[in-house]
Amino acid sequence: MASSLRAPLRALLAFGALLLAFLPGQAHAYPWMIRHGYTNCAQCHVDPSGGGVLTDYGRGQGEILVRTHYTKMEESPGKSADFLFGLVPLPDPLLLQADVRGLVIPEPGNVRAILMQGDLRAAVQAGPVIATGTLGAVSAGAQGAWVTGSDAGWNLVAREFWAGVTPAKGWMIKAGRMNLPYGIRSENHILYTRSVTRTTTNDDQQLGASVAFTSKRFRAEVMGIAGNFQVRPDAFRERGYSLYGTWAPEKTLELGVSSLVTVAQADVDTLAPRTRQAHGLFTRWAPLEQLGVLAEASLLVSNDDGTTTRGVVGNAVLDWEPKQGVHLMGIGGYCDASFADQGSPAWTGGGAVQWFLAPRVDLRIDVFDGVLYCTPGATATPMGLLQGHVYL
Amino acid sequence: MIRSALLARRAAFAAALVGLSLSLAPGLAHAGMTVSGKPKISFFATGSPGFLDIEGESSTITGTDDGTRLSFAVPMTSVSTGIDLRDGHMNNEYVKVAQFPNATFSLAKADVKWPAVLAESTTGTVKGTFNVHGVDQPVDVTYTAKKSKTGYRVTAKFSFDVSAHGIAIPSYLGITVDPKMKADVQVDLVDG
Repeated sequence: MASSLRAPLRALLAFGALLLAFLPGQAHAYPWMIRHGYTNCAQCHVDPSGGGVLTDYGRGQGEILVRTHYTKMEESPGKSADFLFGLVPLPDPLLLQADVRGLVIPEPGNVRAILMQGDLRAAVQAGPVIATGTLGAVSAGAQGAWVTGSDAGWNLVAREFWAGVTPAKGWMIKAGRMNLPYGIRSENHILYTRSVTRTTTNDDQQLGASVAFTSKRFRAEVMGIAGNFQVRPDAFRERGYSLYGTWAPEKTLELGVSSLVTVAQADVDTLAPRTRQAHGLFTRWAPLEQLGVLAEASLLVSNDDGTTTRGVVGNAVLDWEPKQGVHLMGIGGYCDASFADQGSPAWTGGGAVQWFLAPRVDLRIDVFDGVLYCTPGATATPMGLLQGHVYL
Repeated sequence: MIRSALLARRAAFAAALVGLSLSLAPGLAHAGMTVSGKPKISFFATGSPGFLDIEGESSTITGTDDGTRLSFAVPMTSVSTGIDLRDGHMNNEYVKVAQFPNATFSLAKADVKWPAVLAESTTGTVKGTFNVHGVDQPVDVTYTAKKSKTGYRVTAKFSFDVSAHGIAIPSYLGITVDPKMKADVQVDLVDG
């Protein structure tokens, strides 16, 4: 066991050393927002760990800082940042947001289109209490968030629904179905570090309770996991914990650690009793004003019906924004979920262009070679994806 | 928040001015000291909720020495928070640069202990006057002055409260800026 741990430990230590080697006197981290001094997520998102419903401030920054401007912006966005462009005024405690995200996959002799997200998100805040939830539809995928059970067609999905209270400045206690606090929260659910650890924002939310903390330089969240109650029977539900903690020594650099342990009587993939562990490091850094670096790596430990295996997973994303709203990305990933299996490790490498071309509209094209998910021995295949996203 | 950021920058400038003036205190013995190199003036403010970190920076500062007092001025339009719209809000809605274009700082030269030997450093706290939005307020400035070949490298820090200068507390889309801000200044001074 000790020897089998050495390889992943060496990989993780090497990753850590790499991060340290790259640490400059002046550091930046989050590709888009950290270079503007946004080390935390809580200004722009109702969830202090990011993602989900945007606050009024977040919607405003979406107009001011995220999208491309074709003339100098001299006035505040006003109603153009509001829900439905201000056509339906909302009372102060209520936040609404509609997200539609579609994917087009060119295949030999075919073009496949998928509605990945068609969600209405809502949040209500009354003093220190906040409640939020989502309801939507998908044409394929996202099984972990299904409310209905159609195997061959559309399904209703409820990704998040939780309530929280802020007992003191910087603290939030939450309970409900929520994103797992682990690593770099990203909409990109095909990143190995998200899919292998089952911490995507697509459908890996679980029911549980958490405590989140945010300060100027530190943020953290610890969640006790009670299971995904939209998966049946109960034997498939994972119980355990998930957490992350970060430190931002500079306003453009964040270093973080993550840990997750879950136990299920029957894993949804292997159908055998399984204990999953993931423990990792990550960073968000903007070494240059227009360049963001996201990197994350985790050790993986899995006990499947009494047999323990170990592996490693990592992703790195370079995000260059030469003009506001236009992102050119280089993306790489490596995954060896089990050093014991005979299959070769999965890898992926490629590039993406994402353009926030108009208010609430962005398009993204990914071109890459490799294996889409962390599947041992799978044949590397060149792929292209076209994604469109609109939120109102 | 944008407004607060603007205010913070101004305050930072003021702080920078203070630091400069402190450094110029040696100017007592060297009347006519001037600013050289690339000064850096930073102001820091925090927005809530969410602990929004706001930093405004400028490298523009002018200094005058009348023999007994050192005075410094930073044009508020030179302070940048990294977001143009925020800078515009700060200058036009809060600091009102059309009426009050500069943040200024002055202090008595004799209050500063100036190092006499090359590479020697002195530290101390002096009282100065910081003006932003046309309102004077006394501030306590902590400084370090290091003797260089051509003059002094001075770093200085001070805190200020924009509400005491008659500036409205900046608030933008639910984020409110703490009126208590800090300023850091680094400047090289040479004998004129």
